Amino acid sequence: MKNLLFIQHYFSLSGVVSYAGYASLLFLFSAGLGTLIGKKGNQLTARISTLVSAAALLLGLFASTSTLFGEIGISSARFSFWGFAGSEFPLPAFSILFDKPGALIFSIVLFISLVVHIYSLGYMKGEANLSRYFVFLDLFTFSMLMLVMAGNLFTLCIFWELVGFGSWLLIGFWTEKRTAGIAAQKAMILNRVGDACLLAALLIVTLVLQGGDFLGIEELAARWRNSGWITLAGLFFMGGIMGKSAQFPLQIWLPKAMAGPTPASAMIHAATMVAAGVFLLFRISPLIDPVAGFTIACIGAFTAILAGLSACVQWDIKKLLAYSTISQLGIMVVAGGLGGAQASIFHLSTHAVFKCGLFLSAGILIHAWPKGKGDPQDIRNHAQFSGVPLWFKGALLFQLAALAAIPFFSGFLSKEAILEVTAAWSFSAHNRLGALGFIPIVLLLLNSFITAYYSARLFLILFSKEVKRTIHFHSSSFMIFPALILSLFSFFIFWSFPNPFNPAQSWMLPFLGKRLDLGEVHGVVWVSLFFVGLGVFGAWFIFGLNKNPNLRTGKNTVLNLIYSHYYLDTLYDRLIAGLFFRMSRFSRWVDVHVIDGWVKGAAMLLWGAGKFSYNLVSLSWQIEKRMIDPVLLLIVDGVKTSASRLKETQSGKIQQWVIFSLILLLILVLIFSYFIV
Amino acid sequence: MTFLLTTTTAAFLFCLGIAMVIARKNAILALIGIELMLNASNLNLVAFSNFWPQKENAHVAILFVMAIAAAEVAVGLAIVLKVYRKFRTLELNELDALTEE
Repeated sequence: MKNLLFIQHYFSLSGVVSYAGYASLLFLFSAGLGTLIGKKGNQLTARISTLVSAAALLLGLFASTSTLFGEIGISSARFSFWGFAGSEFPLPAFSILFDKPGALIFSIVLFISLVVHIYSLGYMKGEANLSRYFVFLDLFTFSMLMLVMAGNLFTLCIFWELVGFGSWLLIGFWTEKRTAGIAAQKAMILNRVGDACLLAALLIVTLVLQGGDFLGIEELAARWRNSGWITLAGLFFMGGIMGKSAQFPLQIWLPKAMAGPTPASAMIHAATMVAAGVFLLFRISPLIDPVAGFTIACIGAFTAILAGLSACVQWDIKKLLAYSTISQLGIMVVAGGLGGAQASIFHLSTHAVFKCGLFLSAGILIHAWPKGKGDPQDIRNHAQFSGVPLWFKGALLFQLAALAAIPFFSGFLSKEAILEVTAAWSFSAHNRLGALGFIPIVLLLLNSFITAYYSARLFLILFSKEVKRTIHFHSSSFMIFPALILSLFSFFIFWSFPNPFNPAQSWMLPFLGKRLDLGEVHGVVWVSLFFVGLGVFGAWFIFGLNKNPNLRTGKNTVLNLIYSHYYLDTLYDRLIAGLFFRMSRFSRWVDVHVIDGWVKGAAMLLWGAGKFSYNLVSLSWQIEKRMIDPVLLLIVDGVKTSASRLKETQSGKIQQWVIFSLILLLILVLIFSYFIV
Repeated sequence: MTFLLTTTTAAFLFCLGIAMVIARKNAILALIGIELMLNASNLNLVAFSNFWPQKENAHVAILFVMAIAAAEVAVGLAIVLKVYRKFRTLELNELDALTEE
């Protein structure tokens, strides 16, 4: 009964929030429809799904602009469906919140979703399970939208896990591909480790801190300041972010997840799901105290360097982009941990656009590669395309430039924001932490160099002049337009008008919270630009001048270490999976020898009982044979004999007659003698 | 005393006669046995004649018995002759044609 009440409440959300609610519900509806239609109606599901995506985008944009610019402000609804609302029992309720930051991310997710839907129409053409693909995509989008709309930590956790589930479905979409299933498994398991940490954090916040609503989170932080619980909660939140946003040490699932379809990778692992971690960080940023924050920042920066280095030596384009995503998420996490969560959300948005664009462009290259001529994802193979149109090169250039944070592009603005926040924090923390306080900013600057290097390397290898070009390039218009649009949005102008150099003028930042204090350290931007330039120059030096893409063949052990991402995958496999395999082998041993031993023993007992009863039976048979039968035979014999004798009365032999008549006479005499005497 | 002896002798002879009838293979010897039985019964008559009012009546009875015995033997021998002519044997065990088997 209470569940019905909840549904009623959901549909009676006030004003603008309801449109957002409908937008997410549309995806759920489309997913349900797709499930019902099934394989027969592949094209139908695809078209419905795309239309739904477009409709939802319209609804969502309407809702978002109303929230961002209108007087409506924050719309929220809080209702519980346990029946404990209003009591002192601190059970969390299911809550929806649609405020300005939420509206921003909501719109971005919807936009990316539409782009990916249109792209999928081209990329997944001819796929036998197209319906299932779109169902999964819509299910995932629904979960992500609801996550963004979550009003308290509890609701966010629900959709957090649902989003992880959607990711698992999409990574393992091609069920015939064994690597995909294993990768989906790994992703789910590592995500679950993060979920466990998040659950711990949720428990602390809900039960100990007695809070959880995002609306009142600043008061909560103020109440519990200087308490050890806050630090602990912050560290557990970091665990959750490690799982979802692929930070050290749980980052290994993201490169492996590239076994899924490219549009799914674009949606999930570039733009939305991995962004959920950063979004969480944004929501709980008042709760992060300096100690936890510094830990978070160090982990993020460390991850960024680790992943960036791996990206520098990859030949597989999707893996390269995956490592790049991990690296960029790392720097977002750095900003989030140091109090600059608005900057991290800004970078999240720009990153979503250009990274998704990069994945879609990679998908175009992969799709164009003919089957059976080698790895379709290898950039050394992509370098052999002939007839690559200029617009494609331009699109790729735009997106890579945004990634490398070159001026006049969106990436530059958001990265600059992050760098300024981090630098400001470092200088102010110099009093407390000494030299340690500079770790984040130094690592971030190093990361600028690395990012620029691998971006330039990618571009140079793909479009190097020296490789023989033999494969003809082609793509469908469904795939072209999304990639183009996203590359267009990588340009600075949509993010900060009119100044391409100052992120503080970005229209986004005021919506994300109170005035962002970017600090006075503008000089850090020039240092970063220097590193970017260094990176580009280094790549051009190695790949532009030497003109030999096969320079690194991986005989070097250090290179192998970086290429395989420090053998983390193998380590986890041996350690953890190996542990579980050992446990299962042990339990199998127990099953075979101990448990089956009992079963065999019981069977033996039964067999013995059977043998014993058989012996009993044979004993009675023996008794019958030895004791009863002779008696019976005796009787039979007697009857036979007497019968044969009696037969002789009628034998026709005279002497027999005489004998019998004599006997009869004797008998008669005997009888009569009793009566006479 | 004499009475008892005579009766016993007669009984004994009678049993002997029955024995001969039962146990001998030859038919003629069985007839001899019948004769013996008759004679034994004669002796019994003699023994019991002591208690008759007129003892001499025993003599008459005995003569009658003897005559009948002779006649019977004649008839018997005639039968034996006919049987021998038919079956070619006089073994009593073999002569079982009167039964249905």
